[in-house]
Amino acid sequence: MQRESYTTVTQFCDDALFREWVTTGRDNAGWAQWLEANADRQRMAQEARYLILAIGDDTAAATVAETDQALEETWWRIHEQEHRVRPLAGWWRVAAAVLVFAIGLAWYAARQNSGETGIAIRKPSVPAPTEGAIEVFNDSKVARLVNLEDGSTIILQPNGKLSYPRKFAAEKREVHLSGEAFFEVSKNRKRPFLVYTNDIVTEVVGTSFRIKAADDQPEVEVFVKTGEVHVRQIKPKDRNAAENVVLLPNQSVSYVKSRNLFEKPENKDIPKRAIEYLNFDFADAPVGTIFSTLESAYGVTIDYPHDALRDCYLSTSLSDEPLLSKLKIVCESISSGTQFRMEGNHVIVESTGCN
Amino acid sequence: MSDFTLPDSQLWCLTKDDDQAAYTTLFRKYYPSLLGYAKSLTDQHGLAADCVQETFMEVWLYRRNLAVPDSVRAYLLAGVRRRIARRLERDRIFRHSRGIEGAEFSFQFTPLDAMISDEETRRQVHQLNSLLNQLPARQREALYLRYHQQLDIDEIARLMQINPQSASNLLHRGIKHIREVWVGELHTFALLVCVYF
Repeated sequence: MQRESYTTVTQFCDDALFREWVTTGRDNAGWAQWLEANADRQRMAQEARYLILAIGDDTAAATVAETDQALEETWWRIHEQEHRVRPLAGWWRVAAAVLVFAIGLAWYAARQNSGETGIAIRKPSVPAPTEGAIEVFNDSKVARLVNLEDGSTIILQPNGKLSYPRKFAAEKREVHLSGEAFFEVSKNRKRPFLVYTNDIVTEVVGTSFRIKAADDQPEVEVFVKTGEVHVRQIKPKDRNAAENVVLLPNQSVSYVKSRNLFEKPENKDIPKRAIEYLNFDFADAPVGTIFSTLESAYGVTIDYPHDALRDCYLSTSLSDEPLLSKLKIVCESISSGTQFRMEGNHVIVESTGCN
Repeated sequence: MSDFTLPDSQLWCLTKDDDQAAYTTLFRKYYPSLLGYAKSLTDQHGLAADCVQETFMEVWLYRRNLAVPDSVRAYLLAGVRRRIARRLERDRIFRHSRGIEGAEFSFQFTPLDAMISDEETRRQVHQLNSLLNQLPARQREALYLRYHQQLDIDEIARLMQINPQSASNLLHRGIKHIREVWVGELHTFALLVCVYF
């Protein structure tokens, strides 16, 4: 064995089996016995042992949970990187032209050669709605507002069905939809929001978009109002060919169920609902106008003290916020004493007037 | 597939073939120790975590063009070090802070107390440990790479961008120095009685 020729402390330190013996006590090479028989090496080995113990071993700088959290974030960043669009300040005209061209090209490429498009970032599985999930079925003739625990808002159209957990998982927010709904997702970079329909999964961080996924329709449509949305198939035929479509504001996509592929919607002018085109930008608008805009967009009724708020005007931009955030911003802007609460589709605002 | 026992080279090849499970295994295997190294190079821990993630991102994004490295660990450590150097250099230009040349390897060795049972060993080991932690930063980094990350001299040299002889010198000078001080004190305390364990 090599150790017969060791003449320095460093040689002992560099011996992996020696280090293992010192740091773990596992004596696979019979060191205790060998040193018994080689008394002349004991001093050297003792010194090497002290050194190794003084240097210590590699202690983990991250727990298993922290590592998995970092892994999740890394996948997400990879995903973003693969679809990054960088507008150039000052060159915006050129950039816009290039962008339009690139999107056209990407569409062309995606349709010509679905085998070479991007790789789905995770193999999406369809988690069944967990126990204790809340199911909402809108059997009425008007849209129904659903507020989620994270502050996100969903407007569920008639005949739509939604299921979501009472409390979302720590690392992601998952809901299941059949039918049509408009989503306003509260921003949380660490907890992606995923909407599962029968065939596709739509993933966002915080944004607003509409999904139309009726079971009796041949296509599923996704339309983006604000932010960036990623859409992919749940069960790609071939995992390398899984299409992954990125949508920017005012873009939409159709998923054709029979052919398992994404298409640009044939009907370019999909009739939009108020919530989908209203921008909620108000310049010096009477509070009453703001409330009635919210009422018609979300199908809620808002009760507020008309007299107290008669002369209150606000300038604000609320386009990218879920309903609860919009109400919070409006109330806080009126005065610090202004509060609201929701009872079903009914909002009650209490205020003694504006500042 | 998330099997830590598969050799790194095989996990790397699978990753090149788009195998996400193999990539995940590499990530789980090396993330904690890379983060430890990164945190030793900068006290901005957010930046450290960021650079480790970016190193891994690069592996996935450019997987098809990457060769299989001789040592995956050394490759990843080098990636982390390079990124931190670049980020600190950028900060230095924009914010007049110190670049990597000024960034001291701040890692402090911790004695392996769990494996010490007698008072005499504890005294000796802690004495050696405090000497180790007083060594110049580059000598400490070389010792850390050798004994915590198990790199060989050539890998340490490539990582620290010096020639192998210099890397070897860094290691030996460090150990030689503390042994001299230590053995000197041994004489003083007349503790040359050698009772083994």
